[in-house]
Amino acid sequence: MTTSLSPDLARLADPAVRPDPYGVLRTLREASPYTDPASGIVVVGRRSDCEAVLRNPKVSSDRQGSGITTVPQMPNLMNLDAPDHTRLRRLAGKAFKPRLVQQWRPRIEEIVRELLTDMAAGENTADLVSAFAYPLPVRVICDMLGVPREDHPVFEKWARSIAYTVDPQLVPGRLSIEVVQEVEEARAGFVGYFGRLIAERRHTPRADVLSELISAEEQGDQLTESELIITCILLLVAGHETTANLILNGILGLLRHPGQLRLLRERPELAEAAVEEVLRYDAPAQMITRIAREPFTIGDTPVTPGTPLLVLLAAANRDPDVHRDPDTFDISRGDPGHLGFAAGPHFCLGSVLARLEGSIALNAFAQAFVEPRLDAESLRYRPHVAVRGPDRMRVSFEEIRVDAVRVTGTSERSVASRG
Amino acid sequence: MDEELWELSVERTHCQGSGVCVSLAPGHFTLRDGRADPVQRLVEAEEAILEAAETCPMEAVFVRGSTSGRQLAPPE
Ligand code: HEM
Ligand code: SF4
Repeated sequence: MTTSLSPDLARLADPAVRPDPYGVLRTLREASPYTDPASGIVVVGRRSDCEAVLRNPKVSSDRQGSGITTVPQMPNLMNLDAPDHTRLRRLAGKAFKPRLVQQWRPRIEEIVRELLTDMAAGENTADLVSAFAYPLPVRVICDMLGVPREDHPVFEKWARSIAYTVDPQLVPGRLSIEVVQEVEEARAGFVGYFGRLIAERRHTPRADVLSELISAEEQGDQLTESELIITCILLLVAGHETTANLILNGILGLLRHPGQLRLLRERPELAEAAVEEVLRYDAPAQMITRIAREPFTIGDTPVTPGTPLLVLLAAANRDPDVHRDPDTFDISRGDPGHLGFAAGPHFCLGSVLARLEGSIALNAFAQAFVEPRLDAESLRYRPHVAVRGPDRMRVSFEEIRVDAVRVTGTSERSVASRG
Repeated sequence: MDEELWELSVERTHCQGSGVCVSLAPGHFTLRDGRADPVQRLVEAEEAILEAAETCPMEAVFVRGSTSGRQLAPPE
């Protein structure tokens, strides 16, 4: 059990550091790899060390009982190790192949236009957290899973509650009983809901991801009922705050670097590259954890079985050994890849979808918002340490030109999924 | 596919360097300049290779029968 942290590591959880953790992350990276004397956590921050740890079969993702989290975990993809993980990932991956995901582009563009239209109808200012970035991924994944529109609000609430399960507990006792209760409630809600939806889809399959998951089969092997439910919950949770924060951190980066915003406006084909730069420069998933299963060393640092490791993706993404001018936001840099989606066997299953949503949303912002201005006073960050992003971010504008957002055509799927 | 060797290839323009394939079939794939490469182009059939090809998030790993040319993974 993590009882305390040394001051350097504790600073990561300091609310005063939320707006800009990159100074602390740099200090940690430069000192890494090392073992935090107070907690015994091994801190990994250099790009090459992070990659080595994430690809090392001697590390485990089964964090239960390690002290890194106190919220009971479900046996989902994120917590399993090979061979259980490999089996589940192979089956779940079938529903998330690039070709299948790309088919949702028109639907995502439609949802973006809906959200822009709503904002354009209001005053000349909007909180992009609640009016844009958070609703978008929930609507997308709910549509993909086939959850009817009227149920989206309760899904958003549950997804927010359950998000706590992915934050490593850096400060002991921070998760109150109420939070654990909220998580349990959300989980029970999801289980009941998806149980019913799965039964429906088994009976009448549709062109959605849930039907795809149900029918995914590998040499006679299929996902069981509880694996299906657990995977659906993970898809919602893993893709909600992360994608919202990709959009928000991206918009914030563009607003703070007007030259970059202008560049994207003039060259919309840079939208994908802009997403990569946000994932590097201000990563939504700042850090992930692992547990050593067998002894190994990182540089000169010995790691013994049972030791928790803190893999600082956001620090690695600014490692000067890999990225030129790492602290500069440059959407045209075309650097070698970042660790924003991690690496190794747990590499983000939703990366194709996240990139698609992110590029559509950032490009829509660049093209549709006329004279956008950040209300700097309004900017607040969420308390989460691992999943970093704003809680409130007001932007004022002269106008929103919804028609400036390209639509690639009407989607057949949108008809099917609205049912 | 009894005797047939497998031909491995990685579409480098699709590969994101995730390393999923390297983790699942370490003897068969390696990362070079942030992209995956087969260690050897022609190999004997092995389950882990199909696992790697089917788990690649970008569908960038291809496995073909070396004589038949039939694509074994990813499923077409
Ligand atoms: C910008 C948005 C996103 C970011 C930054 C992100 C980041 C990550 C990271 C860092 C991991 C690795 C976790 C670990 O190894 O412990 C991960 C795993 C995962 N992500 Fe994402 N993610 C994003 C969006 C999504 C979306 C949209 C989905 C699905 C709808 C998704 C589904 C998953 C799943 C299922 C896993 C577990 C994969 C496994 O353990 O094999 N993610 N993500
Ligand atoms: S799994 Fe696919 S994307 Fe990842 S390194 Fe291998 S080939 Fe590239």
